[in-house]
Amino acid sequence: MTMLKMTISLKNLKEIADLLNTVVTEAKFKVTPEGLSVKAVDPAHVAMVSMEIPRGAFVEYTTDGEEELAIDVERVKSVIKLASPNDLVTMSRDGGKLRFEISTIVKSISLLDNNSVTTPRVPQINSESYVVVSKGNLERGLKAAEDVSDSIRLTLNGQELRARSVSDSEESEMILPKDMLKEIKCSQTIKSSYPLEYLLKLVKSLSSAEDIKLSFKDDYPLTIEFKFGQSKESESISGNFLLAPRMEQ
Amino acid sequence: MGVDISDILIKHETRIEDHSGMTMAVDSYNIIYQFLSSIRQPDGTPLMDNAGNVTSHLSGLFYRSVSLISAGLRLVYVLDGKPSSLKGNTLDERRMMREKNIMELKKAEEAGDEERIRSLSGRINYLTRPMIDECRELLEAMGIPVVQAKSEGEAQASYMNAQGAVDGVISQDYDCLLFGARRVFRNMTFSGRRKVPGRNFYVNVRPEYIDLEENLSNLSINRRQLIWIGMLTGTDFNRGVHRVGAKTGLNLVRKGNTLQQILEMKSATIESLDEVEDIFLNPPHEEWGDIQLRPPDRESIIKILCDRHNFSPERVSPYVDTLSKLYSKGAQKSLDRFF
Repeated sequence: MTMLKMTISLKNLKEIADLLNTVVTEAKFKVTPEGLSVKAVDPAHVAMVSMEIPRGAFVEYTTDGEEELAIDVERVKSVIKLASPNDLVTMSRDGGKLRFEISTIVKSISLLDNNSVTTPRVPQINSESYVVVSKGNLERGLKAAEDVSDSIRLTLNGQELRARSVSDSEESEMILPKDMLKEIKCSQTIKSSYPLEYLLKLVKSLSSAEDIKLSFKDDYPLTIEFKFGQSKESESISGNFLLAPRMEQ
Repeated sequence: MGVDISDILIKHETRIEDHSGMTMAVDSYNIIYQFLSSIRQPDGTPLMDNAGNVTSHLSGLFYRSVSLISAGLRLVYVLDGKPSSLKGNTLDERRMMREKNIMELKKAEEAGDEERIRSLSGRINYLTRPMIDECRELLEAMGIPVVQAKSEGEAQASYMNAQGAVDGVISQDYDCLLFGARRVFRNMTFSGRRKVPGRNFYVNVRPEYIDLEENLSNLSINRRQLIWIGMLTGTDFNRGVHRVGAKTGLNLVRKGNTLQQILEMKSATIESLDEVEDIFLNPPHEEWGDIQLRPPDRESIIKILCDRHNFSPERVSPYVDTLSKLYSKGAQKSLDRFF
């Protein structure tokens, strides 16, 4: 068995756990000397998260080999609830357990059987058009739609982004004109609908993001790239979230 | 029926609602037979209309499909075409089994053995041409797409799954994995307590799925090797090799032996070996056309179920409302379509 010890800020660990928890309750991390990586998809294969956590994102990171760690994400979330905002969390492998040291507390949780947690294949998703919006604006638009329908239709052209939800009796629409967008690349009008619940959960879990980049095309999966932690490339945690479209009848 | 490779597979117990948004091809004969044998009156006879026609299949098809669709699944029913000539043995065996059961049932009826009558009548299922035609008519009225298979329904359904046209196959048979289905969903059409056939006790049955890729990588074999293991244990198209079960088959295949080499080792043969292997590797299939859900036709549903077969309109009607509502909701796609 390989040796593994890693220390990371509570804030980053919490964001990693929250992001994974938007799609799964259990996830399998790949551990290499370069850092951790993880991919997870919800049971219906509608939403997928992939994430790279380079060794530079840790305060301390020591391992002498490669292995896989299957972890109950909800257990991790409940353990780190014990920590204060500025705490560092040290995790080490202790046989079939993962040992946490947080300030004055030492706590171990069971690792899961590696065979019981699958690592999904990641589809090749490529959209040329994208828009960068402030997280605050996007979250407000999604919340406005939340009690109207369970899906939201995004429409993007060179001039604006619209996010609209309709039911038999109600509707909600957010319109962000070009000057309220951080960035836009789109040469024609594109439209696609997505399940609202996943989108809202994801945006909420990206607690440290200021801007969110949405890439999509007509009736095609939505890609949301994210990056948090340190700004330096080798120290930042990065990844993307894929969300399958919903077809309108 | 089907291939017995259950012992070597990883299965995940699951909840139907976790797969909301997925489109699933239903191995229809497999499921309709289940309805016929499980939807019964307390005395063991199937549900019937006033004229004495069996209606268990219609009841199952209607109520169970609506409940799966309500959980967010999109269904495509695949109906069997002409059975493969290689299936001759299996079909003969089924026919003999049925005739034997009918004889036994007569004896039990003469002797007035109620327990035995119930047990035997559960095993005798008829699926006649008019019944199948009516299933198709009902599904079409419900707006559920129906695909006609070239031959075996599970082959067509699995091929559609392998090609990414659907996200999974609903069938009890593990054969689907040999046919290349990416995900096979079992126990989807009824859950909870199920009577153990021919015995007087019940087991709890929960929906489960089996992922082909996960299993191949866990067993460190490819699909062709899984087909070999299936053929060694026996499939609907060939008899297995004596005393070779799934675990033994797996061991032999993992040692790098080809099917031919294993047969030589065991001094055994498999009839029409190449043809059987080819059926699994290249499942016979038809083009499937449009498999989108259509709006339900209330009048036709009521005509088939209530006017023709004495279902209660008060009970059927709310289910049609549910279908209409679900139709207008839109279809969630899965990421599997975008590989």
